[in-house]
Amino acid sequence: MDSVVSFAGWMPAGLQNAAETGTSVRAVIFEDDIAIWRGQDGLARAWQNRCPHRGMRLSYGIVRENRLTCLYHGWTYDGTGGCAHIPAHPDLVPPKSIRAKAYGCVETGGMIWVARSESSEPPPQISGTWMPCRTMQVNRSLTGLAEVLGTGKANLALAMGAWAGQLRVAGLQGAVLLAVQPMGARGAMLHACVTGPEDLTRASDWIESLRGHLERPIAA
Amino acid sequence: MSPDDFTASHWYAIGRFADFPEGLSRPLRLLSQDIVAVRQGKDVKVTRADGRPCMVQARYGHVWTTLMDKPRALYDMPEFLEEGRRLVTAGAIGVLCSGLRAVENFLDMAHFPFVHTGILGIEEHPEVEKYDVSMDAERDEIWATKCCFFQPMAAATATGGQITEYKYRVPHPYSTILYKTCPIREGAWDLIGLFIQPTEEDACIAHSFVLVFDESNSDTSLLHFQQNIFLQDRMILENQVPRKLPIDPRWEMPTRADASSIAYRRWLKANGVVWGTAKLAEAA
Ligand code: FES
Ligand SMILES: [Fe+2]
Repeated sequence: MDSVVSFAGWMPAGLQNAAETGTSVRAVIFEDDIAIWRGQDGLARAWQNRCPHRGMRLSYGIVRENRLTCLYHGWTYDGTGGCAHIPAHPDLVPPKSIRAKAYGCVETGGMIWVARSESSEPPPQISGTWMPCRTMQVNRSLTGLAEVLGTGKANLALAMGAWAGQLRVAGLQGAVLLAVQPMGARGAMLHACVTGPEDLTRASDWIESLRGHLERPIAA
Repeated sequence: MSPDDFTASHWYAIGRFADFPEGLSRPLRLLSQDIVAVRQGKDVKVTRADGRPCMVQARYGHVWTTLMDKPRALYDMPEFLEEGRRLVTAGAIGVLCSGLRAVENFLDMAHFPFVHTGILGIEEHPEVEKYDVSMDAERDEIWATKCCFFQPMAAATATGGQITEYKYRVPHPYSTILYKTCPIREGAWDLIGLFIQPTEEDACIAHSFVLVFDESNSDTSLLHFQQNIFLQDRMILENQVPRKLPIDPRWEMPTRADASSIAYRRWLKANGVVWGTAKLAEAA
C-alpha cells in the first residue's frame, strides 16, 4: 500500500475526531478554505467554505440531521451539496443549480482526507487500526513530510506520498501515522495517529517537541 | 489600487467631533491613503501624507472629509432638522471586510431571524415578502420600500411580535439609512444609519447613528442595542468570502429577497465602482 498524496490528489485535512457528529469545522489546505461537517449518519463531507448565496463560511453552519444550514440566511443544503430550502421563500423549490461545491472526502487511518472534485486519483487506503492522537499547528510553512523527518527522533517506516507516512519513534511501542497539512502562509498542521492507547501520551509529547524543533530559528 | 473616480468623489465620515481631542494629531486611513486629523478650536483639520489640506465639513453628528478638490455634494438628510428627534451616535467599529459588504448586509432583512435571533427576527417567521426597489435618477440613489418583516421585539414597550415596516435608502456607495416605523408616533419614521469609512479595499470602519422619537429609552440603552446588533453583523461580515464585494452576477446567487442587494451591485457597476469589489478571476 503506497497511496500517493499530493496537492493535486488527496490531502490530510484533520483527525477524524476534529469533525464530530453534528458539527462543522474549518480546514485550510494551501489557499483552499474548506468546511468539513459530519451529519447524524456519521458521514463527513468536505465543501468549499463559501455559501453560494452570499459567501458566508459554511464552517459556521449548523448541522441538523444530514443537512447543513448556513448561519447567515439559513439556506439549507442536503448531504450532497444541493440547496434544499431557502427560508426567506418557504414555498420556493430551490433551483437545482444552487449547490455547495463539494470536495472528495474519505476517512482512513484515523484521519480525514480531501481532494478537489476534479482529481481522478484513487483515495488513500491505509491499513490497520489507527487512533487519533493529536493535532499541532506549526507557525512555519512546510513543503512536505520530508522536511519534518529531518528533525526529531523519528525514522520513516513507510512513505505515503509527499504529505504523510508511518514513522518509528523512539520510546513508542507502535508506529505513528504522521500527516502534514500545509496552510500556505498560515503555517501547517501536523496530525498524528497511533496504533493503541498505550502510545497516546508519549506520541503527544513527541509531536509537541517536533513543533519546537520546527519552529526553532535555524542557527546561522 | 487607487480608488475609481466615483468612489474617490465622495465625502467620508471619519468620526465624531468629540473623537478628536484638541491639539492631538490622529493618523487615519481613508481609501488606502494616510491622512492626519487634528482639532484646532472649533475645527478639525485634515491633511494628506504630503501635507496638502483636505476639505472638511461637520454634518449628521460626524466630521466628514474628502480626497477630492471638487467632490460631489454630500447627500441631504432633512430628518436631521426635525424637532423632537434624538441623535445617538455609536462610535467607530473596525470591520475586516469591504465597506460595500457592510452596506449590503445592512440592506438585508433575510438574515434577521438567523443573525439577530429573538431581536429583529425569529426562525419561525423567516419569510421576506416582495418589496419595491427603485432608483431615484435625479439624486442618483436607491430606495427599497414596503419592506415588511416579522419582528419579535418591535419596540422596547411592545409585547409579542408584529410585522414592522422598513424603508432603506442608499444615497452614497458607503452610506445607508434605515427608516423604521416609529412605535410612538403615528406616521413618523425612526432612522438608523451607517456611515462607512473605507480604509482599505477589504477593511473599513463603521460609524453609526440612531435618530429617533423616543422618550423612554436612555441614550445608553439605545447605544447598547445598536452596538449589540452591529457586533452580531460583524461576526458575519468578517467571515464572508471573499472580503471584497463580488459584483459579477455569476459569482453569488441571489433570490427575490435580495432585490435591494442586486440593485446596489448594479448601481455600483453602472457608476464604475471597482475599488472594494472582487474580480471574477479571484473566485477560483
Ligand atoms: S450566505 Fe449562506 S444563506 Fe446567505
Ligand atoms: Fe444585521
